[in-house]
Amino acid sequence: MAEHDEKLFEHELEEKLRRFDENIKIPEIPDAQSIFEKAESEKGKVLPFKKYSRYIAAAAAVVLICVSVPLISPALGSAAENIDQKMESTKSIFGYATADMAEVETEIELEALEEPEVLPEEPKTEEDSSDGTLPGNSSIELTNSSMESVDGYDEQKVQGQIPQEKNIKKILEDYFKENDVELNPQIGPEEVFRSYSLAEKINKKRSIDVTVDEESVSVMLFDNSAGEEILCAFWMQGKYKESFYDGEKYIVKTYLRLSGDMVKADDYLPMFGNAESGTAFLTEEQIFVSEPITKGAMIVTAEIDVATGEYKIFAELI
Amino acid sequence: MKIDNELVVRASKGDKNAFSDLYYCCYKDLYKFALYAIGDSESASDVVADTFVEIWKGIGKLRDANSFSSWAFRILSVRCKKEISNIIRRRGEYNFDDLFETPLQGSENMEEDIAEGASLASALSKLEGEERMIIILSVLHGYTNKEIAGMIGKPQGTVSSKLHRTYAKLREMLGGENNG
Repeated sequence: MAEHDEKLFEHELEEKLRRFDENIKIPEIPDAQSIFEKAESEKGKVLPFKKYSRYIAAAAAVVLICVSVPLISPALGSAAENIDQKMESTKSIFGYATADMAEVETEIELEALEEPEVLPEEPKTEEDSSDGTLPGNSSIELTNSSMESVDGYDEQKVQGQIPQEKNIKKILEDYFKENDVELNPQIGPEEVFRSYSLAEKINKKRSIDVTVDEESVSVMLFDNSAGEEILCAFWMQGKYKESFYDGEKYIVKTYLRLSGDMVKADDYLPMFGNAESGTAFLTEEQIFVSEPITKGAMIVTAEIDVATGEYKIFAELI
Repeated sequence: MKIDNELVVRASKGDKNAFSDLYYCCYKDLYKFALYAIGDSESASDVVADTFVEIWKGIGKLRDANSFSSWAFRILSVRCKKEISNIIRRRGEYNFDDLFETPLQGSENMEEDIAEGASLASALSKLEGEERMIIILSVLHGYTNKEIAGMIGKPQGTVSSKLHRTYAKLREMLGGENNG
C-alpha cells in the first residue's frame, strides 16, 4: 500500500513538474554571434601570453642563470674539475677531445646549475605557481595543457602509475579473517547529511571547489586568468579526510572504510570518475600497502597539479 | 533534448551556422536546467552563455555526435555547481525569486494552479542544488541514473540514493498539502 502511494505521489509530482516546466518563462535568447565573440575574446586573452611564453621562459631562464652563477661558482668549480678529469682520461684514450665531449661538458654544467642544494631556496609567491613565468618549458606546458583541458573533453588524465607487486584481495581477506568485525564497525545508522563545498582561492589565477558528500568528494579546479575555465573536474570515493595546497599541488584525501563482505563481493577497489570518462576503479598498481595493516581501510589521495590541472589518484591500504 | 546529429557533426567541423542552429535548439532546455539549479534567471543566463562558449571551443573534439546532449549537460552542471558555490559564498542562500515567478497557467482554476506552482517552487528551493539537478535530469529529461552520474560527476549509487531521498523530501514537503 505504502509502495503504491509512493508511486502515485511520484507520478503526480512528475506531472506537476512537467506542467511547471512548460510555464517557465524563457528570456530573450541572446544572438548566437555573442557566443562566437565571447569565445574569440577569451582566446585573445590567452593567445598573447601563449605567443610570447617561449620568449618569457627563455628570458626567465637567462635571468636565472645570471643570478645563479655567482652563487654556485664553487659547485661549478668542482663540476668543472670532474669534467676536466673526465676529459683528461678520455683524451688519454683518444688523444684529443671530440665535439661530443663539449656536449657532455655542457650537460654537466647545467646539472650543476640545476642542483637544488646549491641554489638558495626562494619562497614561492602566488604568481610563481600560476602565471607561467617559471623557467624552462613549464610555462609552455601550462598554457598548452590549459587550452587542451578547456577544449578537450576527450582525454584521460588519470595517470597513477605506482608499480608494486601485490594481491590486495588476498591481503584484505587475510586481514578480515584475523580481525573481528567489531574492530572495523560499519557506518552506523544513516545520519542527516548535507553536502557542502570547501571553495578556496589558491592564488590569483586558480581556485578550487571541493564538494564533500556522504561517501564521495568532488573536486573542480578553475583557471580564473581568462574568464573562468574548468581545468579539471573529478570525484573520488570515500569520506572526506583533508585537503590542502602544498605550494605546487593541491592534495585531497578521503577515507574509504572496507569490510570482509566488501572484499568477498570484490567491492574493495576505490572508485573515481570524471565527466570525460565516467566511472572507473583504481587498479592494484595504484594502491600502496602499509605494513602492517591496522585499519582495513584505504586513504584515497588525489594530487592535482594546480598549474596544468593534471591529476593522479592513488590509494594507500592501511 | 532532441538534437539533429547532422548539426553536431557540421558544428564540430567549425560550421558557425550549424552551431547557431544547435544553440537556438538547445538554449531553452539548458536555460531551464540552470534556472532550476541556480534559481536566478540572470545567473542562469550567464552560466548558459559560458557553457555555450565552452561547447563551441570543445565541439571539434567531441567524438560521438550522439553524446552531444549529455556532454552539454555535463559542462552546464559543472558550471551550475560553481555558480551555486559562488551564491553560497556571496549571500549564504539561494535566491529563488525567478523560479517563484512561474505559476501554472492555462487551466480553468488559475488561483489553485498558482498556489500549486508556488508550493512546488518553494519545495524545489529547499532542495540542494545537486538534488534539483538530479530530479530535473531524471524526470524532465528522462536520463537514467547511470547517465546522470556521468553528467554530474558522482557515483551511480550516490545518484540513486539522492534521487530516492529527493523524492522523499518532496513528498514530505508537498505530500501533506495533497493529503490535506
